[in-house]
Amino acid sequence: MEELFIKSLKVGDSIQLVIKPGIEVTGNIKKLTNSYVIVSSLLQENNIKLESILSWRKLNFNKVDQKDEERPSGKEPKSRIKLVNNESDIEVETVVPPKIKESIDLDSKIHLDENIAVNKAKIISPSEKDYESVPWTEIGIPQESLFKGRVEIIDRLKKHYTSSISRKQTYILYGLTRTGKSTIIEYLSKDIEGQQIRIDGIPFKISPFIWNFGQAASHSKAEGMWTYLVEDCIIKKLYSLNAKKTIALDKTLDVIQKATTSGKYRFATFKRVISELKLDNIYPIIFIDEFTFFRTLHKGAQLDASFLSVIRELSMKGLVSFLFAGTYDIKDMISDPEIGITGQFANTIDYEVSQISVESAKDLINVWDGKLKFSEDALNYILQLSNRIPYFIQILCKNLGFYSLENGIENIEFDDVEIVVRLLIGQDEPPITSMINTLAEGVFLNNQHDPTESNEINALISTLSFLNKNNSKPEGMKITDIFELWDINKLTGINVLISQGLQRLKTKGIVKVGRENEYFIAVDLFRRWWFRRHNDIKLELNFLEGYTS
Amino acid sequence: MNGFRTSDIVTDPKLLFGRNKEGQALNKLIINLLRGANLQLCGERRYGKTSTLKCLEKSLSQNYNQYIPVFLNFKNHPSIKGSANIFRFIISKCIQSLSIHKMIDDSEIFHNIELFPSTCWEDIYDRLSILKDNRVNSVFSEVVDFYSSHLGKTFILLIDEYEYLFKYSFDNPQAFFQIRSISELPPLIDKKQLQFVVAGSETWEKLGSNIGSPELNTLGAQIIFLPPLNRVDFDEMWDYLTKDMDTGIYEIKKSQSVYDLSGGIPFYSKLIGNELLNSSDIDYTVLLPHFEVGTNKFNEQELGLLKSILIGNSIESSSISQLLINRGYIKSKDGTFLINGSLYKKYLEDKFSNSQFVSGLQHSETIKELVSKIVNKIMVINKTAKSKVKKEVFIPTVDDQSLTIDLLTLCVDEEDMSRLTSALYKILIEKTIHRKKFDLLPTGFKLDHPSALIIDQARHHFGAHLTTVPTFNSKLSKEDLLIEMTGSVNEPEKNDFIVIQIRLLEIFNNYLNDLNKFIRANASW
Repeated sequence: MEELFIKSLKVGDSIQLVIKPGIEVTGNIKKLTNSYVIVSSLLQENNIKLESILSWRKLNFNKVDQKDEERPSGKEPKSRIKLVNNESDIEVETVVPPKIKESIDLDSKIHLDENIAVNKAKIISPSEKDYESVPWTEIGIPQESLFKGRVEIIDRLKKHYTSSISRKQTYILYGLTRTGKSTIIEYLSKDIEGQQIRIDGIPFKISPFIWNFGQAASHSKAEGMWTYLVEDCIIKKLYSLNAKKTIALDKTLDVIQKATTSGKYRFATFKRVISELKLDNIYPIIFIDEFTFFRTLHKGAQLDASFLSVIRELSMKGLVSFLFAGTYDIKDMISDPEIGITGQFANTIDYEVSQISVESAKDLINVWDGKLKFSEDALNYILQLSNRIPYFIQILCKNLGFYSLENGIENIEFDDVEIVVRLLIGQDEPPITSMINTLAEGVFLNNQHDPTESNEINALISTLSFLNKNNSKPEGMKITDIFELWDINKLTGINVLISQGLQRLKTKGIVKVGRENEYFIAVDLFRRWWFRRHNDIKLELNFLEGYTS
Repeated sequence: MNGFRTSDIVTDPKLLFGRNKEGQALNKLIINLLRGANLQLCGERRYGKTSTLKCLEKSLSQNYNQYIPVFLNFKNHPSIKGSANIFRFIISKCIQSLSIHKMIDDSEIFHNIELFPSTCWEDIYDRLSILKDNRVNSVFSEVVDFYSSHLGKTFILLIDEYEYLFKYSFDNPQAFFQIRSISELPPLIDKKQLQFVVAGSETWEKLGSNIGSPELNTLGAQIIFLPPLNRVDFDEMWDYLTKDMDTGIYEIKKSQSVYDLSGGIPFYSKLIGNELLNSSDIDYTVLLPHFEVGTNKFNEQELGLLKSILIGNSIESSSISQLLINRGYIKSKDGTFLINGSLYKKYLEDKFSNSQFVSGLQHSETIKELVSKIVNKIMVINKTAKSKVKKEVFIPTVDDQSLTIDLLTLCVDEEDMSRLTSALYKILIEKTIHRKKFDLLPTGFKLDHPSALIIDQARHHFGAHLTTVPTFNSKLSKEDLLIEMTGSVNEPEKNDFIVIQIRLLEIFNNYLNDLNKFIRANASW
């Protein structure tokens, strides 16, 4: 790791930048202003093109705008420096440390002649291996070390499905996308595999199978869908367990072989295979992930409401148990007469998958123990920004991990989190070579923001973001604050719409309600990101034109 | 020798200027793959997405032996249609890649079909044709599972032009779930079975909403953009492009002015370089169709931001400004936003002031008008048909909006022509099919109608030509078609594509007028 040390800067000081072994650039500080330091360049002596600075591995210290209104009082940023290409000079930008700032007039161009303490700076080239070692990732099923805060629900589900009384009831796990439902299913499935239960005094082995209705919907014909559900998800696993002698397929084997030989799969095949498993003392549990795609399968006529009625019947007969997981739409589907499944959901237990406990969230943040330490302020700030939802914790920590590598930082403070948040929401421009990128819309789509929602829902999110625009720590807004803002914008007589919209956002967990009935956007990172895209409140409310009664 | 060949695809990472250094696109792609992520490579048309994917393929093959890269471009294989065939193709390409890299010697049996190593994917595809459609997905999972676990390697699917896959190849967008699900499985002994990189000009979420599948928005893939080149990289590229050219063309060597004109976009700079060989006066007409294609896609917010920058308003950084920077339309200097490239700036000034705007815009307006008429006419026809015969003629589908965008996008080359003709074909032929018969269109308006035949044949001659729907008896030669379109048998040149686009849209619009009249005049058909 090559390092550059800038101990302190004053006019006349010379500094040396070690770009890589053998290539050094030196310069003298020409002048110091209240916001930046100019260093005269001696590049020509080294015959180095100045432009190549852009392609060097960066000094990733980001300028923090002093005029920022979102910064909480008493949380001034530390000094940071940044190299930029200015055709003839290297500029070293620094935010003046608070004690110096107090003594200067920000409107005048005072040239400081005193030392400005600047942190030790390093030019760092993180390797591919360094980046690979950052443990957090928001994609896919997390490794066990990153799977935090779901022990309680997994234990509860294990008890439920091993109890002879309760397992006939179907659990419905619902929540926003990327809150960890699939992960719960995956880990529950591993935990419960092969567990013994007794049915009428006879020992049975539990065998869980996972269906993904999203994947089932990729088949436009029922036969393809049933091939996936029965052969790919059930039969292949049974064969594999049988080969490992984990289970013994004696009496069922014939039925399964007939099914695979014919190669024609339909609902009847599923019923037959499931019913026969009891002959070999196997108790199947089907976990249906992405259950919300039932709507697509229903529309494509691959499945209808009778499917649910039959699986309910199989479940009541004690032949199989089910668990469904999906987004909040599951709840809408129950009351949708077009789908006709209302009656089939009577025998269910709902469980909302959302935030994890403070302790588990902190465990997840501190998972890179020994490499990256978070101050208490930083930790609490991440909890606030993520609403303790693992997906958002992973996004923040992953990028903080990149930031730490790119800046040679091992201790993350509040300011570091703020710097990274600004990059993620697009408030500051990420350095071109950084692995940190502004968050794309897809990060929040279908978990915080649903494009199919009505205009007033978006307008309410914009309103809550707008009313909090100057707050780093969000303040809850009373419904009257919203009435007032909409009233100013000539949207009158639609208070009912506001109440209904807030209720809907609350149900989906996008908005939370404080003790005094004040409303917050739950994931503060989303609030900040949304405001950067929807900061013109007039324009946002214009979408409601015609709503006025 | 002219080094400004715009059609060249770079396969050597050393020549992938502006993308091949530490912290640049290729490096970012590799780091993200090493971290187990799926990725989206996003860049405007002609920004070098295919070259970047090709270089990534080469780099992974040579330096990262834990991966099996598989390059896929479905646009190059328009005859492969339908989800089952797509997965047959992917399986074939996976085994081809294993064979090319000599990772396998023996055949393996999957679902009673023995698959032999082969460097020719067609051989494998042929063998897979006996596999029933409902088993193909399952075999795909088995193939990936088998080889990744036996070889301890990860398949990396490099999917170029992914929009085409979703719009014209898959039966439905959910078909991608199969790939996504495997890629999200927890790693086996620290190795994933499969990861993917999709490359296209539309972001995933935009594509998802265009094709009416918001559920696709949860891809969770990191987006890597292909920005314009910085000055150092541009100079390196320019030196390389001009190294074998006549020393007499000294002006060409002046990379500074070309950098300023083009904004550092390699494709633009090659077009400008070509133009400089003939003339020293360069104006934005040389890039006009490309500017139009990009700018016409902007929404109100994005256009508003461009206008504000033009008139010198102070702009706050936001995710929209970031997106425009990533896409190369604006740049940031000393905290101020500027339009990237002097030609693009001049183009925007004229476009927004509406003065002295040249033919590109007139064409653009004509196309907008025609497409608007077509969309309205289809709605009217469907409404009339529904009230008379209780069924629509053009079955509404989730990708209607996306098809409309394809009709609206200006055609500047063969690639655009292929997209346009595919979209017209899909609307007129595939959307009027009911149970594989043309029973939604009245007799006389099927392929027995001269306009329908032209649309059918345009697709045949300008790109995709094989389809799952019944073929036709009467054919139109390419020469006849070109005479009909441009009045000449010559292959179209760059300005001819827009002319053909307008002509095809006019033909389709006139056809719809006739169809509308017929439907209004008849009680049933």
